[in-house]
Amino acid sequence: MTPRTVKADEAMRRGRLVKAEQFADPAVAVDMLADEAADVADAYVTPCVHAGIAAADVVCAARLGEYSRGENHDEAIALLSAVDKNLSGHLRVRC
Amino acid sequence: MQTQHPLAVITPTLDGDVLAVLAAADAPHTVGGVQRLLGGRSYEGIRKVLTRLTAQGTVTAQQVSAVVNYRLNREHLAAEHIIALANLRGALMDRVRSQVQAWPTPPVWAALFGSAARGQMLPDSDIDLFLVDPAVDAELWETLVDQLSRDVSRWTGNDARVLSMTETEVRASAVTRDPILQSLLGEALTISGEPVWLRRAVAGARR
Repeated sequence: MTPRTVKADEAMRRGRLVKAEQFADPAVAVDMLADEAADVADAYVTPCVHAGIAAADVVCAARLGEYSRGENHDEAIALLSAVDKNLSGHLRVRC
Repeated sequence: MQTQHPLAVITPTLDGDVLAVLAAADAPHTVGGVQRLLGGRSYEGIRKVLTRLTAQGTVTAQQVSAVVNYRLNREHLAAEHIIALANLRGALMDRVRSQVQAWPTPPVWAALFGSAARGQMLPDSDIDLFLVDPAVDAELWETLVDQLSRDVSRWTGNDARVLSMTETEVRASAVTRDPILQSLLGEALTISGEPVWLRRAVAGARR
């Protein structure tokens, strides 16, 4: 399987990094405000997933000069695994 | 050392930077792809390096249609050493982690920041470390931090600068939006402690 990718320059890498942080910050805030994990499951997990995807794009852009642009999550995992198998394992975690 | 040019510790040539790119990802790279990642290097120079390294067997070349894909030959006897050199920043962080976690009063959180974290070092840049002081024994803490600073200098050849704050100071800096803390939020690479520790501390202080 050849992942569909787009070339990434420095501006795109920084843009995806900002996006990752924009998702990570509210996830942290939600986690802090929750009394019980079950109370905020989706509100916490959804931004975490988006932060993880954006962060994976940053890593791929920095190491490969491209990142996955397909709809298929497995393609993004395959691309990231070329860079870091441990990180791609985290991205493989499903909700 | 310069974290963005890890192989410059043994060779100042373009070969080192090309090998660092190939070592960083087990994936095919074209000459143009390597050039894009390195920035500011000539296409022809990179092509010559790749041809030279292919002749040595450290790099494999595969013709695919009109392009040649290059990748590090990970079965080569030299490969593990090249990969280890390419990961000098990670090795530094691992060594600092081992050291501080063995302290009688380990830091609450430790991170690399500044030019070493951003990959923008000059040969004489400092290595910037941020440690959150558990505030148990101030005198002991100062001794440990001084020793770490000396050790990092020996390990890297760079001066090490350790910024230390207690949790109380971190929270106060978060409220006043101290520029150093803002830099840390944007670029710090966690060495010890939870990766989200600082974000959590800042969010809590600003709530």
